[in-house]
Amino acid sequence: MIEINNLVKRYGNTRAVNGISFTVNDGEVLGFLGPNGAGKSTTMNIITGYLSSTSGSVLVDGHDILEDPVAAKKNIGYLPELPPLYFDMTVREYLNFVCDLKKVPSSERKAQINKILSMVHITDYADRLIGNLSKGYKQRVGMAQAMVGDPKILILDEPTVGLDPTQIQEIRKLIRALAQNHTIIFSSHILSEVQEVCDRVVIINNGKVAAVQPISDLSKKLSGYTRLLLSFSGPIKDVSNALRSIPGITSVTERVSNVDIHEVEISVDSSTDVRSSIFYTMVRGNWPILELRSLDPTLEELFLSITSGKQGGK
Amino acid sequence: MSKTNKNKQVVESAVSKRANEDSSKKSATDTRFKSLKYYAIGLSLIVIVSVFVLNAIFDGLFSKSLTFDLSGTAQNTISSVTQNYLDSLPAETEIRIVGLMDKPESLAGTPYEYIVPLLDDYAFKSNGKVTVEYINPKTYPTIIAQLDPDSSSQISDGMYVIKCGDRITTLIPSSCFTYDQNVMAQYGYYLPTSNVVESSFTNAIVAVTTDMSNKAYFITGLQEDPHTSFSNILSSLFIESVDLPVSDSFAIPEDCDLLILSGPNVDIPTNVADALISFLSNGGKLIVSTDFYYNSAEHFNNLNRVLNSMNLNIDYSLISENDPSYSLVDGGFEFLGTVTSDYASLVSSPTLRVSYARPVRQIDSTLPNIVVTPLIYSTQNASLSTVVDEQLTSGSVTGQFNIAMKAVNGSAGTVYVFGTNNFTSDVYISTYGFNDANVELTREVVRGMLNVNSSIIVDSKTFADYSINDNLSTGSGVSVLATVFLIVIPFGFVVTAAVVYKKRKNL
Amino acid sequence: MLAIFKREFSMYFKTASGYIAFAIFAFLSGYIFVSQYASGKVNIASEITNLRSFFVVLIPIVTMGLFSEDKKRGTEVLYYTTPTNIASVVIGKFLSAMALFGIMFINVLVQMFITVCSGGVIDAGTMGAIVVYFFLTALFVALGLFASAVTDSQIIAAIFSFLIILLIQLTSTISALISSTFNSFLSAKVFNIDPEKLSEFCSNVEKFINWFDPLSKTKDFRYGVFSISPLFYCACIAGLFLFLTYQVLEKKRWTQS
Repeated sequence: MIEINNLVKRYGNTRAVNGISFTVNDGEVLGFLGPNGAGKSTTMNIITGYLSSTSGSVLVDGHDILEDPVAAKKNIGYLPELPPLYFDMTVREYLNFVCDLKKVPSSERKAQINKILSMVHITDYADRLIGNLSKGYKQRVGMAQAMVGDPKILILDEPTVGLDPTQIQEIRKLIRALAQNHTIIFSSHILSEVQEVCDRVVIINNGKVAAVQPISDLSKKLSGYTRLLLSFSGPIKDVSNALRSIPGITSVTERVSNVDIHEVEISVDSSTDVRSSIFYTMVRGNWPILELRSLDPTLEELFLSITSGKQGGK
Repeated sequence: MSKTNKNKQVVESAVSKRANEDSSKKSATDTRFKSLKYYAIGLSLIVIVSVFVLNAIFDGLFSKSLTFDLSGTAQNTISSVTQNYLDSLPAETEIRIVGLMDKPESLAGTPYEYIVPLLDDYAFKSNGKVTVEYINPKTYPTIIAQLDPDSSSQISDGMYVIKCGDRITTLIPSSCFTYDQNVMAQYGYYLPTSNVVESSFTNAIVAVTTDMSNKAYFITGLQEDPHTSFSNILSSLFIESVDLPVSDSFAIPEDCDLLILSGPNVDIPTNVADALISFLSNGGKLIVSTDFYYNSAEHFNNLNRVLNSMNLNIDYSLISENDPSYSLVDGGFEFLGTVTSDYASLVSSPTLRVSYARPVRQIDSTLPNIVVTPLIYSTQNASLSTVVDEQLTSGSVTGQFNIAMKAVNGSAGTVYVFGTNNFTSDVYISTYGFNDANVELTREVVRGMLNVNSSIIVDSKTFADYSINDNLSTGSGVSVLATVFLIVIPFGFVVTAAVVYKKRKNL
Repeated sequence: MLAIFKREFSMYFKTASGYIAFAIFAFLSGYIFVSQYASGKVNIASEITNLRSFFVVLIPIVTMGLFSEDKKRGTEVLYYTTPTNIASVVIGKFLSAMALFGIMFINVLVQMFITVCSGGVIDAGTMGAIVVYFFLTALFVALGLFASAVTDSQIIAAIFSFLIILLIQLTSTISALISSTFNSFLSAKVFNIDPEKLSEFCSNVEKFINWFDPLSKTKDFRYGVFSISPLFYCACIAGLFLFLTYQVLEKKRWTQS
């Protein structure tokens, strides 16, 4: 459905996107994962034709976005990071305008708008001024805008950023619903969100593709990589040494130290569960455990794991 | 799973490829960008330049042919008469029109409203023969000496100087219009009646580019009416006007083709009368006009001695037209005189405006070889008045009186006598403009006397009149309009704006 | 194109800006008309010509937000990512502003009707003034549109178009000033220039500058003298600014910053 080939975008001497290639298959939900500034938005802007690439090509449904932009753009609904909303229009006026832009036949217009309004749950707000809506509702109007004209592909740039948890849940639900008959590219810097919604994930960092893999692989990789946080009261040196001696623990790093309360981060080899061993070790030393919990992997760790995985593969 | 691997491979191969091709791709990248950039900038530049070039070409080719003066009076366009004259001049002719002032900027309501655009049109349509400049002598003091090295003309600030080669003439902007002289006399302000800008400038151009074929002398020093308009009419017939003041040593110059005594208010001295008599008997040509208005006490005895030598006499009385269909004012001192059949074909109107006329008659002691013809006459119902004891007293005689007559003697000496100034004086001509029927007659008279065939006659132009009905501008209608246009409509929009804004703000 | 036109035009009336422009124009034209009427002479051509000097204010009000707001709010994304041609966006916005000016002008038509009813004259000069009015409006609207496209701030766009329109309206004054400055400067004895040649040179400089001035090119229309080439010039300059606006928007295709 979408073929991205060796995409480069230069701003002056820096390369915001530096040779990105991947394909998006028909009907899949592709997560586009990367930290802020990794080049996600730039890539999406190029795919949708808002920006042009320095080099490389984007084929949307077989149409080159540069050479045959109108045909290519017909297939795309785009929700940029900042939704393109006119604050001085009502939701309905705005969606009508987008219908005009996307050349939706006037006979289908009313039905389509009503359908979209109910899908994103803003029917009650259809005649409100967009500027008067809350952030979450604005985001939904942005989604609605992308859905107008029923494009085969939806490209959503960080659709959940800045929303409260319930709103995030609703948007995710909507994306899952849309996924049934749309191809979706969906960017985020939150790992769990991508895991929840996507079939496949493209991870980019510093303008380059770090990995392209199905979500199942990613989960596997993540589950094989655990960190624990332990806070206790006792002598830090003795505790660290005692912990290091436990089989399966690869490293212990000190995070926070008060006079007698310390916090350490423990990296654990994937195969064993070391939590009971830790407990007994601490009891033996008569060091009270104040907290023990596992830490979510960060994106950086993910990259690290992917890189190390690659090294292992080679 | 296999797909993933494939993707991975693609990525990896891309990565390794990138390493190899990095340098080469960088240059390829830059060319694509640069070519787009240069294309856009270059295209913009080409379009900008070609827009101006195209317009310059279009301007050069079609600006004249695709210009249409659709105004009723063509105030700012030179007429075909002027255009033909300019075209007839040799291509190397260089006529400078220099306004001795800063170029007037705000034209509306000033004489320049009609002068500046018309002069631009002269320059525009003359194929470079006419140039128009504005040089203020205050900032550039040497200009006057430069234009007129011999100080032959009296040039001062605010004038227009028309110069071609060594020949030079001047025009004052205010003289490019005719004014209602009656308003001037009664109320003391200038009421422009017609625009003679083109006529004035074309005559001035003619004066500096063509040798005048004839010379006319105006006898001056007799408290006579001004004759600027008459001079303009003469110069359009290629006749140069020169003033000839009366004096003890009065003599008529050899080169005098036409002698004019226009509206004197005192009688001519005896020596002048003698000179005129001999002038006429030697085949000289004379035009005399006077009326019974400012000079109502004057009997013109010496003048009548001259006229008597041609079998004519101007009587000491005032014609009143009593036929109401000819009379123009109460008392009938202004009326329509009828043109005799000999002259009727020369003028556009069978009757001409005549005021405060003295009767002109053929005297009884007929001298031989003199043919006298009437030009203009009153109806049968006219009567005569005279001043008795400083009171205008109407006489009982009614009948038909001649107002203008022509007499030719055997040696071809010709005299035209007008008992009114309505054909020669500025007071009349400038009020009614150059295309008035009276002026037509004057012109035809001069043409006939001097056998002038060529002429450059530019009609005066009437002003566009934007007046609305008098009573409306003062009535309550104005306050209604002011209320509607200054308060209701603008305020209505402001209120609508506020309502719309407020309504939508809370949607 | 129709989509853009519909939106921009209807927004003039849904936000207050259109009505405010109407109110200003109605007041100004009404003021000139009523004072002419009270003086007993109504020359619509001179009213229209005087109204043109308020373009300096009206054009920026109408055009300042056309593109700058889109840039600021990020709504320009819609033009680039929907199957819409950028050229049609430019033309749609241009036409919407022109339509607004056209509707504004109804006020003057009403005044013309009143003039005729009052025994006044509507002559070729009036028609000429109207024709020129709309050609100049097109030129200045295109200029304002361009100003709006080069920045994302309405204020800067307004100031930019204000200054350029002011400059164009003062061209003939400026050219006269330049010419006389040249003249007084170069006529100093040091340069030893033939005064006749100098004055010719200066008047040529003035003529050259004025050649670019759409106002002095079209000044004879109000007297009833119609000419095609000044109108062609105005149309070309309007087209040029629309083209440049298009190029500015297309710049996204190749810009690297």
